[in-house]
Amino acid sequence: MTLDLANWAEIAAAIICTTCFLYKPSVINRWFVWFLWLTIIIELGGKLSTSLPIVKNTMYSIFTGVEFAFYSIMFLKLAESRTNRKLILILQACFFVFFLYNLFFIQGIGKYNHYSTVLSSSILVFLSLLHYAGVIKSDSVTYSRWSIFFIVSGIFIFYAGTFRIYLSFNYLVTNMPKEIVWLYKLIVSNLNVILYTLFSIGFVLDAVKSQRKT
Amino acid sequence: MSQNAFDIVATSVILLLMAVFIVMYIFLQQKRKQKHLIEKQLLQSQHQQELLQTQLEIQEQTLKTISEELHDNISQLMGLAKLNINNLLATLPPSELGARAKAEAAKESVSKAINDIRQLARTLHGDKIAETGLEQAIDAQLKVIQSSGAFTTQLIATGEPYPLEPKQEMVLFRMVQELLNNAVKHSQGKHIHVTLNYGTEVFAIAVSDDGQGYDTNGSGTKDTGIGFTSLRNRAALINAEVAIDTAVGKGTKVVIELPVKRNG
Repeated sequence: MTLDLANWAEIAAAIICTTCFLYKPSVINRWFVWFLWLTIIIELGGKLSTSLPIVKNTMYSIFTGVEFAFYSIMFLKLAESRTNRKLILILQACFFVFFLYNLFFIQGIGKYNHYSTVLSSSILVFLSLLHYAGVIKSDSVTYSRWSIFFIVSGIFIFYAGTFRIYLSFNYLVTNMPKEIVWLYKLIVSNLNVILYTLFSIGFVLDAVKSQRKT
Repeated sequence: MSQNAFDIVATSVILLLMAVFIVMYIFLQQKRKQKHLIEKQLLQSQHQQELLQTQLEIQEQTLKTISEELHDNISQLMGLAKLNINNLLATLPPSELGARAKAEAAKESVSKAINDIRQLARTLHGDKIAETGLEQAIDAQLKVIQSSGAFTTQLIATGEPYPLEPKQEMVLFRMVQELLNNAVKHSQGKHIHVTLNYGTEVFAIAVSDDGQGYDTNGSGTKDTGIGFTSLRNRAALINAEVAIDTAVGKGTKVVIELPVKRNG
């Protein structure tokens, strides 16, 4: 089992988050610490189960739902207006109805449910834009702690960048020669590095700000 | 690379660039907003300082006018009254013992009134405070309180005395005056103690009494609350800080700390 740059970035982010949590616990690192370690377990599990595609695909498909739940709850907590909160709840409900239907009836268990990934990506991009719109509209300065900005930006850049690739997942898997598929893997891997680097910056800023306050 | 593969990569890159552009825009917009907010707060603070400064100047001018009026007019009239009493005493025959005793008593009262008016005029006049110095001015103020007989007072200065800026002395003196006034009016105590500490980095004045004190969280502090707001506003003018230590039945101690910059 070999770990690529994205895996190392992910492990680094988890270690930074854990250190920040132990050093100065906050709402952000308390939530992210378990989520990041769970992500690492899933990634390592995926690498170990390459010979068992059914297990691997099912695990990744279910984790798509967990990941969406985590990020969308974060956006729900960040939402300031009642309308936005209602909208997020509706989108969450729609996603999970589709997610379960896809898991059991469309793509099924044992296959990678990339339809759910595409829907999750598009909703998360939309929620990031909704968050930014609220930030621009607000008279006050939203980011008293820039940690939230870096975390939301990580999610936004990652899902905006991978959206088109997951949209053509079937095409890539069935029609592309392996020499070209590496290019897509490279894009996704680099976007993962950006995502976890921005997360790490967010955790550090959160801890530094908490330290200054005491 | 096939056309379709190129399309996927190109669209991904475009979406990615758009995302980065939006993130950069939000970042810069928030930075600008933060800068604007800081500038606005600074302006508000400056405006507040100017307002307080103006209030203080007006108050000082009013006190100065009253002081000059007391000294130049009332005091002169009292002096004239004293002179008349002296003349009366000179014309009264020694046999008029009763009338002479009354005239002597009147002369004594007028003399005391003249002294008190001069004393009051001095404490009201800002320039006089600058001339005598803060310590002397506070001492004079304590003597006036002590002369009433209701309080015993004590002034202790520690450290090597150094001069403060005239504006600082003036503001500090007015703050001490207000604290002494509060102690006389509300404390129901018997003793007022003032200490001046000439520290190397901080000049501190503590005004304490052995009165009834009060509960800082209770509703009965409304008036004193306003008084302390005024004290804090005055303190802000010279970058000083005010701390209050009080509890029911434990007296009140107010400490004013002024950071000082000294050469050598």
